[in-house]
Amino acid sequence: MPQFMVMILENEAEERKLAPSETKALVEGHSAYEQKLRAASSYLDGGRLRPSAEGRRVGNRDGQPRIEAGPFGDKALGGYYVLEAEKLDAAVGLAKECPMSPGGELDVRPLMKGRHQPDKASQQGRVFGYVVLGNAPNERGWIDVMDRIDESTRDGFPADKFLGGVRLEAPGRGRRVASAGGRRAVFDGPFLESKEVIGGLFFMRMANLEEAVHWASGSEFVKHGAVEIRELWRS
Amino acid sequence: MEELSQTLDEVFRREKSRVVGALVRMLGSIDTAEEAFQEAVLAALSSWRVAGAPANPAAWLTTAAKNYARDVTRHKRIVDQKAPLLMEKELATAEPIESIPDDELRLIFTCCHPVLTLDTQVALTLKVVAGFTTDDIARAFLSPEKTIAQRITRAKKTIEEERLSYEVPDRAELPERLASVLAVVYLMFNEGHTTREGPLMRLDLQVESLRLGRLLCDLLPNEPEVFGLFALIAFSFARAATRTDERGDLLLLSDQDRSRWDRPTIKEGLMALQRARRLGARGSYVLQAEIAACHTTAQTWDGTDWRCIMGCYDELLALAPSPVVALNRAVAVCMRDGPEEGLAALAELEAPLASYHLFYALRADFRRRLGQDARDDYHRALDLAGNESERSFLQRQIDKANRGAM
Repeated sequence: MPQFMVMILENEAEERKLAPSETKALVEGHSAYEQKLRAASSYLDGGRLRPSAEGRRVGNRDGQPRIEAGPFGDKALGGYYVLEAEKLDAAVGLAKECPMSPGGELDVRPLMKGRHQPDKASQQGRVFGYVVLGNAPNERGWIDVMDRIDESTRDGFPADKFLGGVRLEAPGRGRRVASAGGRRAVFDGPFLESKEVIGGLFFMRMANLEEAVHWASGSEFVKHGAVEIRELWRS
Repeated sequence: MEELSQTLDEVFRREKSRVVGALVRMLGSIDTAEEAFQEAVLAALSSWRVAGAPANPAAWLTTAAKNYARDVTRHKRIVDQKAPLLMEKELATAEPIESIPDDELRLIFTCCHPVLTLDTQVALTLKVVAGFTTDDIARAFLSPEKTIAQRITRAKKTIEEERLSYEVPDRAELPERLASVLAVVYLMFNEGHTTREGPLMRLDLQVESLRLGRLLCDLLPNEPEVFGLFALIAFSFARAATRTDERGDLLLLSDQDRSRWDRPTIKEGLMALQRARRLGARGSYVLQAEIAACHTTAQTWDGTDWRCIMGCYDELLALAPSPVVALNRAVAVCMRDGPEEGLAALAELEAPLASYHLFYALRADFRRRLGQDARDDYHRALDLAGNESERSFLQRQIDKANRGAM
């Protein structure tokens, strides 16, 4: 069955303003949503990411790794679900029930390939998510960038640290869900010019953020694109 | 320069338990490991000032400490031929040794070994795991530095003499040993939350207990009580700034400005509590965290979910009867059913809590709500209280009652 990733894009500034009771509803809402996906045998994997302000972005400038501290923009990947559905519309239907914080959006993207390691929060030590980013003037060019990254990193994951990961189809093959006037509206997956677009997500067990950044700096990812490093939340 | 030494301080504190943990595994003694760590820190200070901190400070520190230990071992062997060959082969390898999560866990379990008294466990953990100086610890517990230093030295000696196994306890032993570790972090937090004597709180102890709690979550990610304790600490820490007014006077939970609570830290607590729920069992820390979550997410004091809180207290009492828990439950009774019911719930607690200031403070409050004269109880509470903020709060209540009686 086809697999999809629902990416939770959060407006962190808005999210921080939530009253504790609203945050509680959101946290419990995600737990209930996961149970619902599991009950429907749609759930494959999922997780929340710690605030982007704690994260790092590793890209390159003139061939040298360039490390920036978060936050990185007005929207941050706050979490994700990987689910199975017959086709895109069914996946979008499931995604529409996913809890959203104010100003947030959901991207539903078909999976190209990858392997999941569920329940990463049960791993001893710290687990970091690597969001793979690519920048190109158009979708075709972006796919080329992702192909190059894919090709050059295929054997680059240390087996004792790697905790699964996926590559996504281009945004044009997905949908975006936004909340408007209390209702969920669905849009075509946009390709935004001159903006970095997420092409994949993988996880590694690392001793700390420095080590996570150090590994990324020496990797092929930053030669062709960039990675955003975000710690997985245990919940 | 000031900024750099602060950064370095931060790094040393953060990395200490990982590095010392790995070194104890190699060197077999906490004392030698700490000495080697100190030497590595000195080397780092001069080297990092020039070249900047390395990408992986822990690996750098471990290698430097290992080199120092190797030199000492060589020297010792020349002086005393009978000294054991201290794993010379392992020490000679050039690449940095990997520190593994179990090294840190072993170190924590050893510092919190039940053969040591609870106060000693706390002092040793602060020193060895958290990287506090004996001076820091002495100030935190208002004890002379000499006393703390002796306590730590004795503890290390006990560990060596009793040959306490330096390992992560196995499944059968884990619950008891883990309880001991959590008790240390809990005491550290409690002492930071409301000191036994002196000023209201010690924020550094609260911050450290939060850090240790999070470390334990990473090291033991499938133990619900670890997440319960971390959530409990996070919820309380999030409210720390509103516990006093601008004059530094104690404010009760019912009078605090809830909009000023630290929301990101509340979210930490909610996420950890959710993990604890997912993992299943409702032990005493998870139940206390559930109660704290009810308070922290309530929009007002009156709007608090007292039914949920009562249920948690009943579960706590079923786990382990305790007059202090029953006392806290009486607050929920008072809020849900009125002060008369609250007083009734207190009736049988006077005997076991005759020397506990909060018993009298609470009974005074219930009596005040019923329009009764509460001054005797406030006076008794004042006689028993040691915390300065609590004392001045009680004095203000007495003054108010006196004005009302005139």
